[in-house]
Amino acid sequence: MRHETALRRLDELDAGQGYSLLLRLHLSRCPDCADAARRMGAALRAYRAADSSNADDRFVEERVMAAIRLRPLPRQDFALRDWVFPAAVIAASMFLLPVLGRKTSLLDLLLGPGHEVAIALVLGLGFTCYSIFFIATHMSELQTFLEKRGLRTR
Amino acid sequence: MSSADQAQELTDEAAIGRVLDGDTEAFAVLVRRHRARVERLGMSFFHDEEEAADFAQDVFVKAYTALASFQGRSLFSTWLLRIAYNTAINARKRSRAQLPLDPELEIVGSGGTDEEHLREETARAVREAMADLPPRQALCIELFFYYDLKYSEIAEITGFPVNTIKSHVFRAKRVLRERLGAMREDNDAARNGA
Repeated sequence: MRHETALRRLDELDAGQGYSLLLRLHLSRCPDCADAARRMGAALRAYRAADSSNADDRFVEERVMAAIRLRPLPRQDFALRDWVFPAAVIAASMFLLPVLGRKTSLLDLLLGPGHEVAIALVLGLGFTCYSIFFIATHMSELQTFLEKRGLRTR
Repeated sequence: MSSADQAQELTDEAAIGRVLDGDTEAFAVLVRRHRARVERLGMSFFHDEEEAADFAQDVFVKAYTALASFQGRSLFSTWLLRIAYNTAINARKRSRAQLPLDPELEIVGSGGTDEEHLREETARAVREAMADLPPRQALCIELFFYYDLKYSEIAEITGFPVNTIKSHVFRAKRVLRERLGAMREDNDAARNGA
């Protein structure tokens, strides 16, 4: 490995990345490159050891802890995309089942003549449960939404 | 072992788990462990200790609120720095004064003269490399040199492509290497003269 190549490889190293075998071989034979690598390592260690903050360690911690004690516990949010699939299934069922049932009379055979009432009840129950869970898990978003539009005071 | 010592031994993940289970006080472990890094980022942006402390408080409260969304795909420190970076960028956008990144960040440290000299040279090289870059890209250099973050982690925090970050860091390292070389020559000359 040439001298310039070795120096370029040193400059390309990622944080925490070790030397390649070729680079190690070169460093073992080239005192100039070995010295450059050693100085670079020492400089970075010295730089990282510096503390730029003169502030009292406890000051920020106490303020943060005081602020979060007033807040509700962080809770596991459900991503909106998790709600899309069940919503799509319910919506599709609401439209497709009656249409298919009427066209093919398959549902008449399977469920008997009163199936429309049963389907309406099941879909209604599914839709109600979905809505309850969705609203219950998005209360804070709803609150923020209303506050932003001035519909609810803090 | 005191409860404070036991709390200090908690890993970030364990502390997060305890906070999510309702032990709000476990969040103090995370604040204590990561405060200095967040404040330093604040100093880079706002150049003022009081503002940096306010910034750190804001970042930690945001992190607490969003803690349930931390899924452990990256280190907590990387996730926290991403929140800090976005908070700082948004604060700068809101601010009328478009301040450059701190050109004279005061470095306080303990150590011998050689170490201090090395630190000063490194700080100068970092500043020189950052000088020509827009603030958001300049911060990539600081994230590598001070925070010891990998290119991929810096990309995750800042949203810049890895190759862009690599080229900025590469340039900064070359500047630093040249400075360190000149420093060695000065030392050799002084030794020979003596």
